[in-house]
Amino acid sequence: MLTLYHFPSSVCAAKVRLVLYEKEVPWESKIIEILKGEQFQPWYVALNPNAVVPTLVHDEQPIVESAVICEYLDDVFPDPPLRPADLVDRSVMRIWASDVDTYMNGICAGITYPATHRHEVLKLSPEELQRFYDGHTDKDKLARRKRLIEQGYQAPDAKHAVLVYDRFLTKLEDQLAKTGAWLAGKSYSIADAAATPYLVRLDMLNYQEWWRHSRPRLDDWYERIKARLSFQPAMIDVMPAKFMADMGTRGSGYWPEVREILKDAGAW
Amino acid sequence: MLILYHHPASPSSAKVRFVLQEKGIAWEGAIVDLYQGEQFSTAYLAINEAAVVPTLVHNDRPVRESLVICEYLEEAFPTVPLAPADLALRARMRVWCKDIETFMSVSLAGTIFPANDRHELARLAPEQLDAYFERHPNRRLAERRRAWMTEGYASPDARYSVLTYHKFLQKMEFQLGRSEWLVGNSFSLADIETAPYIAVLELLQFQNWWADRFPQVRAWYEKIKARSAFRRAAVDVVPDRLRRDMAKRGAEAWPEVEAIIATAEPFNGKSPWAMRAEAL
Repeated sequence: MLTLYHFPSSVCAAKVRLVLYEKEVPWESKIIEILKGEQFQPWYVALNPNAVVPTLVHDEQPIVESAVICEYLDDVFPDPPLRPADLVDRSVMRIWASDVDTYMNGICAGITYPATHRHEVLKLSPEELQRFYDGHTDKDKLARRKRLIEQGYQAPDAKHAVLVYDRFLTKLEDQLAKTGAWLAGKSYSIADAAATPYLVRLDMLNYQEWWRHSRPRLDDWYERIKARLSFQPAMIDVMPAKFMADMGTRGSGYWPEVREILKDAGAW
Repeated sequence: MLILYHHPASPSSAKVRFVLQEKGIAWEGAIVDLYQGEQFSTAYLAINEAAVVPTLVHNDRPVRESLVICEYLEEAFPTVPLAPADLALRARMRVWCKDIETFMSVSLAGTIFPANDRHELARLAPEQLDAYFERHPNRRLAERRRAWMTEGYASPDARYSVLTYHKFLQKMEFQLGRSEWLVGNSFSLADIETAPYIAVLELLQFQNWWADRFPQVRAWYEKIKARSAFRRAAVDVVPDRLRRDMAKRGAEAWPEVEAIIATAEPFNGKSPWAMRAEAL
């Protein structure tokens, strides 16, 4: 019995959903409303002491950390394999999966909060908002969040996030030039699943112009990703229609501001 | 053919040597002199663009990142297994190893650089030192190191590193009260990834950090030291001169480190994972 505690727009959770659908194993979905602070409830913290999504529970055994969950699923359900058989390629896969977690996870919030999550959080009543802020155990993270919520893309953290994102897109393009196919070699792997939600995020915000003309290999990779059977259920069907629509509309309005940041920094 | 590019006193190099020794794999070593900035040479950057040790080159193909190298060796040389057969335990082992990367690796430099490395770098001529920092590809780390050169443990960043390190020792003590080894009851990559971070403190004569405060850590480390693979990987490899220098410098720095430790908060007794959310 597999249960995944997750949230539609969490990039770490989306990576695990992709792996589950790639493997076609049945699983039960439990949504944790992270924008309402549900991750801080004691019963969830008992499963996941870091109070983050996702958590996989397999036969009553909780597994945490999205990169670890992906490898766990590949260990338990080895067919089809999502780690390259070539062990050096596999090491490249692990570096990609880990780098995406380390460098891009926080950065993604810097892109998303100013355009959309910010508006969701600002809908909360003053008491709910206070509860949301109080739930954060990490004070630095809370301070960053507050700046993103209050200042949008003009927050220094948001500008920084835009530039790091731009370098990430270049890094993806360069890596695909090296391998010619997928991020860690000739076959689709956990590295591709790990990177996918970051492109979907830009896609949903209607920021396609960011890569479509300047990074042809990445564009081709993303088209191949979208054609896989895992894509629609893991990335699209799970999203509430209104949330998706809001994200697209709000994002379209913000793209000029993002483009200006890129131009100012000489990235464009 | 296996070649390991490494440094005798680098814990991340020691992890990989520890795995190689436990598995009894034959390998050839190439020392990268970090104090002379050899990690920034064009030849080394070609196999490791982050300019860090270690790099394993197996049949001419480079493998980077100490944890990834250890998992690579585990899979390429499975005869002596160092990962639990139980898959849920293996996942816990991976979480532990990831936490080592997140906390110990990141706070290591701030914890030992003010005691040791800055004295090594101080041997360089001023223009060599400038060049050293100029060539560092990680700008943020380069700036932090500059601060440690002049401020030592008074730098807030070094202080924070010591406290993070301390928190990790608390987490180890907690975990070792519940299982024989760091993950479950058999020796695994979790123990291998952790041990060098304690060994480097011992080289600096910082044993008092855990001797009385953390009896479980002390007992665990005695078991680790009883393994011949560990002695070959982390002890015998350190040149005598460096060992003497580190012991002397460490003894001088210890009162400052101990003063920082005295300000640490007691462990909150939560799950060993809980510190992650608090420290990040």
